[in-house]
Amino acid sequence: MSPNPNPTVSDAMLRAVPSLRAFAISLCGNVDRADDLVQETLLRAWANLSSFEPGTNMSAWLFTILRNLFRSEYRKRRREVADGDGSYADTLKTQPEQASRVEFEEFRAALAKLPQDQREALVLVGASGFSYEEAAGICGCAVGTIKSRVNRARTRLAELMSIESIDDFGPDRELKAVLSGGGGGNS
Amino acid sequence: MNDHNKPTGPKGPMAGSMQGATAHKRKSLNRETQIKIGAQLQMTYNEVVNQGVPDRFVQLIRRLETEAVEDAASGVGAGGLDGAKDTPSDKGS
Repeated sequence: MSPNPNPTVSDAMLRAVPSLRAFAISLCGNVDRADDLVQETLLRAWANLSSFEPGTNMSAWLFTILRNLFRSEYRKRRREVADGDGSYADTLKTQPEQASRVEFEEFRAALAKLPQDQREALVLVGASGFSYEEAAGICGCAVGTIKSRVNRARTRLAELMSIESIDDFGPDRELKAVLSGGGGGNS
Repeated sequence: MNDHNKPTGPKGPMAGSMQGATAHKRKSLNRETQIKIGAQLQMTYNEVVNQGVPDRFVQLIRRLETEAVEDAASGVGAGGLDGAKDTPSDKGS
């Protein structure tokens, strides 16, 4: 048995890694960058363990650090991040077997079109399983702000997906691409 | 445009009600879409979650643990590795 100084903490960190990665990928749309972001998060967290309050949500704390790191990095790199659509779809090459690949790619493309604030709120609440209150804590904003961001994200996605679903009845997939992609531009 | 409305046999007179069904479908699509969005969001997310913990992170944590043990042995407290240069939650935004 090695004299592990923080067995619980390091276990909790490792347990959080899968969802940290999923969140990071949804933020930056690139697996390699996301993994670097997760690594930086773990290093930062480890170096600042004294500021973690035992008994509070380790996962939320790590998400907060990751988001802050991403934000400051994003501000630096803003210029090179401008590739909206394809990036998110390109990141995950593993084929989901549960649903059609086409549907997945359409969804990811739609998700990638959301403004960053809305996307992170939607992912935190709708996928990471955080409450509105926890998500507000992670994003450093009011609960009401999170709620409205989530709502706007859902509405926008519904619009994008509805266009696609309606067009499934039609003959022309290119038309769909024009409809869903053309209007968006660089919003 | 309406390829799916081509006659399917003796049911010609039903065409009108099919139109109605299509319109209704279109209206309720948003709710269906909402459910679909929720499910797809989860699936997209879980696809990554199900990849588990990549080895590099296991090794990273092991390395940090080892360093902490060594530091502790040499009198530096655990958790004081790099010194808390800055607290990430205080920075940002």
